[in-house]
Parts: sequence; structure tokens; C-alpha cells
Amino acid sequence: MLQRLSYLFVIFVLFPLVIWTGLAMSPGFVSAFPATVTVFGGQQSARTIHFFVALALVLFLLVHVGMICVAGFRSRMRAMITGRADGTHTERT
Amino acid sequence: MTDISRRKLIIGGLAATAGISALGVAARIAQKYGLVPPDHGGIYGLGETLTYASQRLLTRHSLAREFSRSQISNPPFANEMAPLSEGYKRLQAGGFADWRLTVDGMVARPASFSLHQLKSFPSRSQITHLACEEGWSYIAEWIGVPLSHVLDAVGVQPQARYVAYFSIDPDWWDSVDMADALHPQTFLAYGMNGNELPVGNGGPLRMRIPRQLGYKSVKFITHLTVTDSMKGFGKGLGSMEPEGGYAWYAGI
Repeated sequence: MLQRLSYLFVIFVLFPLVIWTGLAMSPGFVSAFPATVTVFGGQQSARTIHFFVALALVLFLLVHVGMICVAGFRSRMRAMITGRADGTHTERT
Repeated sequence: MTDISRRKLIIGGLAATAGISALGVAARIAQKYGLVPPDHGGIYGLGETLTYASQRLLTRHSLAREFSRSQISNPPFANEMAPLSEGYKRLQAGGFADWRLTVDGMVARPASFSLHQLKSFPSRSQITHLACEEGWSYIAEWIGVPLSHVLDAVGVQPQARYVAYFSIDPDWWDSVDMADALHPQTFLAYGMNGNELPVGNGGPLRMRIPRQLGYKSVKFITHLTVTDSMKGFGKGLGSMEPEGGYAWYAGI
């Protein structure tokens, strides 16, 4: 449950936020679409949020890879690439 | 392994060929419309080209945000600089009366302007945001002469594509394409927040390009060259920035 919530949060909140705040720091992009940065109250605010989100993403990455290593790195990588679950390990739902 | 049918192979091959030739066509179109930046080579070249081309298409006529007087940063921020040269100090001692802006290259009437002459041109003031690559930024009111006006005064030839601008420091120079050079918010600033441009902020004359990062707004401008190719300057990458690992086009 926690895994599902965190994955949803990363995919639908953190990634869009980090991309949006990143674009907000581009003077070229912002000149064409000023709302990108004004919703954050300015470029410095966008920058701060960007750094916090980036930190959160790094922490997520560490936990994510850590979990995989604990649960069986090779079989999970094989399953992710070929799409075929290995019969000798139980399926995780 | 799964079987790959002949049909799938043929369709896959056609798709791949179509994709590769589309890339070739796109590259030629980009070249024709001036969407390829001078620093298009090397490892970062593809990324720089994609950034420059897409932003040039999006932002041809966009304006950087202008703020109200109450939003001006107080105190104005002046970052650390290298020690000023002897030549600069001499000009400073003379009150910059002998400061000259020479304009040459693909122009009909190469000229040399004094600060006094530049101040007699129609001036423009704008309150814009300067953001450095390093992360700091500030808002100030800049007063100066639009670069387009100076270029009109010297008569730019039609095949010109870039304006290169040089600081009194010989290692510090940059360039912009004509779209940015003729943009209404691009100008040579000689005043800031109602006063003369302070030395710490680039006085007596600096370039202001508000739609790109701060390092394009070079300080202590003494020389402009109008050209159709940046290949003859430095290492031919468009400015000294790519030589240091940064991007030539800094709208990011």
C-alpha cells in the first residue's frame, strides 16, 4: 500500500513538479509562458522547490533500488526486461 | 525467443529508414532557418541544438517579464569580479569620457561611439530580472539604448546573422543571433535604478539580454562585431562560454 502510494506520488506529483520548476528557471521558456514561474511566486521560489523535489527523488531512487536488491536483483531485472516472470519465485501482487 | 515474421522485418526496416531520413531532412531544414547554434558539435551539441531550435521557435517575439518599481531588489546585487585592468582604471579616472564603443563587421558605416553619444540616442528603461547560472538573481531597473537602434545607426548588412560583443577584458566576449540582437528588450545599459551604472554591475556600459541567463549580459562593453558566422571568433563555438563548458544559447 505504501509502495503504491509512493509510486503514484513520484510519477504524478514529483516528476511533473521537478520538470515544471525546472522550466520555471529558464528565462527563455518563461518569457513565452510567464505563468510557469509566477504560480510559484518567482524564480527563486521555483528553484527552492526544485531542489527539495530533486532531493526527494534521489531518496526515492535509493529506497527503490535498495528494495530491489533485497528482493532479488537479477530475477526482477530479467522480469522487467523480458516480461516473463521466473517460475521459481513467487509473484508479488 | 519470439519469431519475427518477414512482414514485421520489412515494416520495421521501412520505419527505421523513414525515421533516419526524417532526421536528415529535419537537420537540413533547421540549418536553412538558422536553428542550428554555433556550439552544435561535440557531446552536448545535440542537446544544445534541440534547446536552441525549440526555444527559438517558441520565443521569437516573447517578452521577458517586467516588474513594478516596488519589486526592485534592494540593495542591488553586484557579484565578485576579477580585479580591473589598468586600462579600465585609467578610463575610470577620466570619468569614462574616453570610453568608446566601436562597431564593425558587416555594417555599412563602422563607427565608434562615446558614452555621451550613446546617451543622446533614444533611451529605454525596463525593470527586469537578471538570473545567474550560479543561482542568484536580482531585479533592477536598467536604462540604456536599444541595441537595435545602434545597429540601425551603423546599417547592418542583410547577410548578418550574429552580433558578437566584447568586454574590455580580452577573454570575455559573447554573441547573440539577430533575433535576440533586434529584440526590443536587448540593450546596452548605462544606467541602473535611476543612477549611473555602478562599476560593480558592469559600468559604464553593459549588454542586457533579459531572456537569457546572466552570463550573456556581459559587462564593460567596448566593441561590437556584426557577422554571419561565429567560426572566426575564438574556437568558433559562438562565445567563450562553450569553451568553458557552458551553453552558447542561454535561454536554457
